[in-house]
Amino acid sequence: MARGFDRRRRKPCRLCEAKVRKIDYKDERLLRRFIVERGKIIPRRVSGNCQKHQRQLTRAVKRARHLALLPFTAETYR
Amino acid sequence: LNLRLYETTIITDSQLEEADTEKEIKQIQELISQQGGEILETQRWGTRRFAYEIKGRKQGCYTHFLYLGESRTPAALQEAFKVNERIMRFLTVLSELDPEAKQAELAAKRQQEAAREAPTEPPAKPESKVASEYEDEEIN
Repeated sequence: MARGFDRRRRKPCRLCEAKVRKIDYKDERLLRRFIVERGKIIPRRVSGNCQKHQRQLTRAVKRARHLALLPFTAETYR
Repeated sequence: LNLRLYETTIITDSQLEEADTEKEIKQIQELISQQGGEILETQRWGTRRFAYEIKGRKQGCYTHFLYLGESRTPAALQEAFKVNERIMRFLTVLSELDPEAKQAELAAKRQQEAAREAPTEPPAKPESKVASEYEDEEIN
């Protein structure tokens, strides 16, 4: 059972570490760190976010997208 | 009366004359007041580039309102925004700020400004505090 998978250490949630309470859709700088260049939201298993923060984050990103603060997708990739 | 703290962001056409933009903002403020709401803060973010084109435009003028209102207020605003062609996009959300804390903060700011009296211009508004001190780091 000593395969890397269950041995891999869980990454700490960086938002918890930074003591972020609420994620705001207006905080573009913060949100940008959690989307890939293409515009996708980085999954929890990659970013290591806790569920609570990931939920807040996705909501904030989606709001920001509506206001064109963040892209739904990056055209340059097409 | 049960008032809740809402925030609404609107995007207007950046090609609109400044006076017209002001007029739109005034109208919205009036509408909120008419609905029995109280505006705590109106922030002009100015013209910003869009992350994607909206109606063939690459940029728009953002305005952000923070207000106390009844539950019918956002609905009324939505109706008004929908028929107003100058408003390209809008977003209303329940603010997660604590209404009382925010009011206290604003009151303190007003006092400060009053104390300083009129000679100097009010200080540049601070960037939204939500922008955490979280450092720039790459994920992956």
